Amino acid sequence: MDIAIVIKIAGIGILVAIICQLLKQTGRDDMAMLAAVAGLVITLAMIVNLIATLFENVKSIFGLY
Amino acid sequence: MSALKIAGFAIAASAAALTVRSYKPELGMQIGVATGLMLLLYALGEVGGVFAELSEYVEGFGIPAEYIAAMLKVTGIVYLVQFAAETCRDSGEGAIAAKTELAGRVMILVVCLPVIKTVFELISTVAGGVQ
Repeated sequence: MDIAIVIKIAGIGILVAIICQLLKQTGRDDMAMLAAVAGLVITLAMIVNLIATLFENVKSIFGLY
Repeated sequence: MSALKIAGFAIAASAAALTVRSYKPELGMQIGVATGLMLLLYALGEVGGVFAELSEYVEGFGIPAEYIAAMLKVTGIVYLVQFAAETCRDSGEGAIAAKTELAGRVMILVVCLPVIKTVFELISTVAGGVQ
């Protein structure tokens, strides 16, 4: 149980929000959307490993399938 | 002191999620998922020992092991389905959450079918009906 990943996601969120604001102010709305999607994908890639670990643990501990 | 650790972790993660949610709601949901995963993984580490102890008791009392296996499976299904449904509900998708829970209940019913059959057989033997 480490809080580092939560803090990391929060940092990415704030960073992406700032980048989006900057890009929108300069009139590049499409790039802003791309930045938002990139942030989402990066955090999802971080979380996917955790989800896999949870599924494996539940499968082995509770004897599912 | 692990209870204190869990409490502190949850409060800190909630603060982070609240901060991010106002800028990027989808990343706030990610923080919620990550926190939930951390807490569940931590709880699962403890649960493994509890189940090992529990199966020892069960063997001592002579209860058939397959019933306990079914019970464990149901608990695992509930863990996963509840986690998925709460994540959906947090992101505002109440309908998807309800359907996830419904599917989970059906899966639990499938796991419980052999036990239900045993109960019916027992009733039939006690009542002296046709086998």
